[in-house]
Amino acid sequence: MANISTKLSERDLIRKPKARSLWSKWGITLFLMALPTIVYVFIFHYLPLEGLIISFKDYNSFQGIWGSPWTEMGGFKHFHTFVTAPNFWTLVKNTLVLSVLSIVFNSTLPILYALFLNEVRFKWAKKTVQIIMYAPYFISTVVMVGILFVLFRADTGSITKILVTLGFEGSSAMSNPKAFVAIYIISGLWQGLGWWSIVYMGSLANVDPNLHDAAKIDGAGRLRRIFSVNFPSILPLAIIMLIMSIGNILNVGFEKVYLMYTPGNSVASEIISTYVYRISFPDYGLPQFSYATAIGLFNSVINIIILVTANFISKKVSDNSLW
Amino acid sequence: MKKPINKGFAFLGMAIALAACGGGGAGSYDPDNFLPEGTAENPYQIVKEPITIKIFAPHSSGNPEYKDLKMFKHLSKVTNLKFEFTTPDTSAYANRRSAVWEDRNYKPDLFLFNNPIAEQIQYAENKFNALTPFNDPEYSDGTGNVGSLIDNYMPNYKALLENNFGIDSEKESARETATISDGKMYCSISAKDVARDLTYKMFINNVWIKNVYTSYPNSYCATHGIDDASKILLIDDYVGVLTDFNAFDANNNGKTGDEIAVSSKAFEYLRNFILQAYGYVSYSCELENDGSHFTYVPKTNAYRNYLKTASGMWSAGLMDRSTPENKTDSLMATNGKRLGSFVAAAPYIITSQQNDPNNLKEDGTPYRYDEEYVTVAPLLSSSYDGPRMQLGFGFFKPDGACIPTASNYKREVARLIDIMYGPLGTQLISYGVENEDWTWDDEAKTSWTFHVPDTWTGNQEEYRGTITPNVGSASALYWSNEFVGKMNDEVITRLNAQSETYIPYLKTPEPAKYKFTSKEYETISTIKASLDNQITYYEASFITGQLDPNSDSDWNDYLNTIERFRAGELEGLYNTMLARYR
Repeated sequence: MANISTKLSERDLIRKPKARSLWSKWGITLFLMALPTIVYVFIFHYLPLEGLIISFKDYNSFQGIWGSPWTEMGGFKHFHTFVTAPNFWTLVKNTLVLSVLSIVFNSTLPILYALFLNEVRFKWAKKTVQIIMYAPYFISTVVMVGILFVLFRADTGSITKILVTLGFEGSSAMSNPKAFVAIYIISGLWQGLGWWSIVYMGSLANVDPNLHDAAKIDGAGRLRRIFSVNFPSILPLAIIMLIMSIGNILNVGFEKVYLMYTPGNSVASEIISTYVYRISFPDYGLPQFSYATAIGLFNSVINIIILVTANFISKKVSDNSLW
Repeated sequence: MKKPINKGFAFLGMAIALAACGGGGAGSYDPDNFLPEGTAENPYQIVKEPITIKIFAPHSSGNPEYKDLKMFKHLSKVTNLKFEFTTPDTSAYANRRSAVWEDRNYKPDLFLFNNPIAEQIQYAENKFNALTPFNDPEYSDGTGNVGSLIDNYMPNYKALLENNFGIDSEKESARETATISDGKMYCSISAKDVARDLTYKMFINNVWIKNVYTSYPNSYCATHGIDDASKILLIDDYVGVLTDFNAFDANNNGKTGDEIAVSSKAFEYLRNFILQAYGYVSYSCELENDGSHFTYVPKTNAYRNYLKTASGMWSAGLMDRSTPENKTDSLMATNGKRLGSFVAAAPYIITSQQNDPNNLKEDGTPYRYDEEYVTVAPLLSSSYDGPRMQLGFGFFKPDGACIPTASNYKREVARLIDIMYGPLGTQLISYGVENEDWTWDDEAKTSWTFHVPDTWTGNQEEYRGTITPNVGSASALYWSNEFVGKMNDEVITRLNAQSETYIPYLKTPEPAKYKFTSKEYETISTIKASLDNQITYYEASFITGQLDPNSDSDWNDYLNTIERFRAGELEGLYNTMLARYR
């Protein structure tokens, strides 16, 4: 009997896996959860791709997307017009300058800010700084640029007055093409630094405390632990964020640049997206939908090439990549 | 069992057939419902039984929905038409309008306001048969022979065209403006002859001039006998007066140097005023006074002279340093009463404070700072002594109302448009309904008064925005001085009188009667998208001292750059077009 009871208990202890239904075997639940997103992406991101065809056509609204005639040069007339435009290289250069500098500063400074804020011991101080830092994110771009114009007014602007006391010329920096990039980047950081650091703050909260304890035993000081424990912990996330930013390198936000435009800074503030806007809503003639779409498509192709290249380099160098 | 099913299918088939005929199908058109001349009791009635007219029009956030505007409520009441509006925001209007042509489910009966001439030309060139010609006696559609809409159904508009809206046809011809190269009119004209809306206006503080003249014997005003703005005849006089404003206590407040001599929303507003003293009014292609050819103005010596003058004004501190960034009237108005001269629609917009209860006039009424300002007439210069000129926006534009060919109600819509050009329509779109929104002041109808309810908390224009889309959304089909000019309002009356100064000198740099081909429009649009940016950049650089307009080297670099940006090609396109008209 004893043997029998032993055998039974052993049998009881070995748990057979339950037979999985097809439902869970194929992960249908997960598919259903993803379905709304797939439908959304298909409808709003893939179906409109049909419209790209007008970049190869001389679109007119009466004949529509499919009825409009193909352009000369085998459909590449608008691409040729763009790359041979006298301001093509200026547009590309201005866009790249704004984009690359934005990526450099907007990627590194939120990490530094998060690393140091994470070290603040008083919770109330940490929360207060966080709130103050990310509150500007909720100011609309229009209001923000309006504030910039008031701050930099030639006669009454607070910043202009400070600059004059420091020996600078008493004219508005908003009309200075050399100051345009700096104002764009710094105001962007002021507005977004706190917000962009949230994702890193979240990642830092999940760093294993044992790593810090081990580092302490090894004699690591605070600064050493920041750069040897915390920084490596958020590095994979930072790289992914960087690659995604690089994938949008030619897609500098139109709104802020357009609003900051003044005749004086126009050689620096004329970027691809503002040019597309002026082509799409000209003072003269009809909107050039085909030409504007061709420029947009050109932009996207360059972005994809850069994204794939950055991803490839990252995979080789750091083993972190999007795919 | 089969019979009921067959009957059911038959019924369904009939229903589908009827539905196909309903709505927009030609079969639904009932010619007997149309009243070409109204009725004896109501000349404005267009149909016996109500029909729905679908109207596509631009809309700005300053207006309530079109269906709530008094103008259309009243039009609906008197015409017996019902209106169904599609009103995209003005900023998205061009895109939405393009999409309409592709929409199979929505065909408007009327495109009201902002109809681009380039579209009319493109559709006519390609024979798309998209828009109904207003003047084709042979025109017919599925509803029968329509004929010339103007001749048959638009007596008001026809009379206005024949009379050229009361404007000297040598100056501008409404008929030529409306007609494209195939001899047809696909859009009605939007016309305006109210002086204050025909040009930019340069104002100057006449009280300051008198102060300087009487108090400072060494001033430019005193030494040149300028005791009134009307004596400013040359651009040098104007700059001299501004120099006085800067150098002396022109506003008599005991402080020298708090006056800002001149300001504007952007350089371009000052440009128009200064440039015309050197013989041109525009910064792009402009028809020469003798009509012989178009000239691309930014490459001329006249333009260089303008830059020299503006640059001198900037370096002498006469120009508001915030001019390049002002962008709006409200930002310019932050300096309000410190401004000696400015470009604006009206002085009270800039001086901001209309009545000063702390500063009473001799008659006890509050002082009004806007009353100090008067307009400066067009000037000449030492290098130009030809006819005086003032930039004119033009009396006519071919963008008023279009009727798509898909509409079955062309006759009805034509009559509706015609009413909008008649006395009732011009009153409605301007200031609303007689005896409700405004009343004649006397039996001779020499003036009328606009009534803003006491309960209204906004300003007069905001109230007008509840009546008509003319506030913010669109230009009126006919903004008629015959009616608008009789408004009994102290500020408006003064503004009208001051603006009349400009009327004899108005010059439209690119007369609307000249039209390009659709291909040319596309090329010009592409060139200007790049070139205009260069022009405004160089203009700012020359004026603010980054470049020197007196330096041949800087000037030649500039000329080479604009040539690289296809300025010569642009000029060539204009002259090719002009040659076609000859």
